[in-house]
Amino acid sequence: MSDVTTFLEEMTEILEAGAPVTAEHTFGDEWDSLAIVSTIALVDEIFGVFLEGKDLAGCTTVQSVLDLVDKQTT
Amino acid sequence: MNSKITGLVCCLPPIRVENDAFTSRFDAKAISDVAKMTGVATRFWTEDNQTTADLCIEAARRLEIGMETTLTDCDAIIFVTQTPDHILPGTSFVAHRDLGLPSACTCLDLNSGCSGYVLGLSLAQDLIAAGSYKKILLLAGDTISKTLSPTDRATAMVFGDAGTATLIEASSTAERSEFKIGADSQGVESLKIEAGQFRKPKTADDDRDSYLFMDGAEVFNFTLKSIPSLVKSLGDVESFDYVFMHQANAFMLKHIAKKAKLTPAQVPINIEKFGNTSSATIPLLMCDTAKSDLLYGPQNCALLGFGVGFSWAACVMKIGPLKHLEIAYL
Repeated sequence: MSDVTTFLEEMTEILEAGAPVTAEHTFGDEWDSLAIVSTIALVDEIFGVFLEGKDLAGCTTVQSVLDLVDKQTT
Repeated sequence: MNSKITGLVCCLPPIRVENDAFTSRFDAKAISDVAKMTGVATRFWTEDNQTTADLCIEAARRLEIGMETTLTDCDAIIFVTQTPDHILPGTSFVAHRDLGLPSACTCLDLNSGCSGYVLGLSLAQDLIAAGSYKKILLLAGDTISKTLSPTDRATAMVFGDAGTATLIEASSTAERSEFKIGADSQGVESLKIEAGQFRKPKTADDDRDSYLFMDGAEVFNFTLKSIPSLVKSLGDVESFDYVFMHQANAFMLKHIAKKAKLTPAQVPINIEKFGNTSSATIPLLMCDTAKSDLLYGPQNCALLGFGVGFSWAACVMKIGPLKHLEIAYL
């Protein structure tokens, strides 16, 4: 299983989404401080990357979180 | 001369607050989210007229009785708190008076929170090692409930109050503990009470800045970046019987433990019972989760405080057998 697949599975849980989320998933009210802090931990665990809370707060989709990870790893 | 902890008492105030007490302020989902993330289910808050000194002095009195000793031969008292009784004098003088300590006893105050207990232990060890001191009373506690905005869910549900008293005595057989203490002061703005002192006096028409402000994501990032490597820097993690970490957030503690390759058995967590009690969490954790082991010790313990500042203070210390260990509920 790829890191991204694992990430999407875990994000489904963090966002308490009814169906598996994809990279295109757009955040709504569920993208709150709790979800952001959980995502910081998840990204650290899967990708070994630290994302700043304020950067994550500006994300509007799951893909934009992955883009932040890419920026840190490339 | 080396030194060791010989006794420890923690004191909890009388107002027990469960999560359902917040239903009039926050909706059910907000309460559930905070409880899920932080792990806090119960916290104890002081009455309006109770202070940190009251809790710590009561803990010291019970320590004296429980250890069947006297505190009147203490050479020094170190008081760690961010919620002092007064701007001046330091709270150590209040405790010195109320405990009837001798005039030759040095009074020291440390304005430190989550790292404060370990910082106090470090100072006590160094004072005794310098040769002029033999018996030091370390009081550490806070009444953060008095600083909380009732409408800020990030803080209102998380913090509790507690006071503790620890006796540290010279010992020819104890091993010297290694301490690692530091700060990343870029975090000054992330955990702060802005108003109420001299930079920004408290005003009657806007008390918002008089409450505790916490940028949870920034605190979380600091902890995640700094603490797992701090744990590893203390030595062979498999050799630790206990890793007593500041109880800030259960989710975060589990994540740190995983990153530092610690087992759940090594890392007790009790934030669900008392909340984040600032400088009191580590001694409260020791009393609550390891009482029998510490009474019959010795246990090889790592202690890690981290938070406001941002700051950290950690050590590896052989603790036990202690003469007395108690949690007192007022």
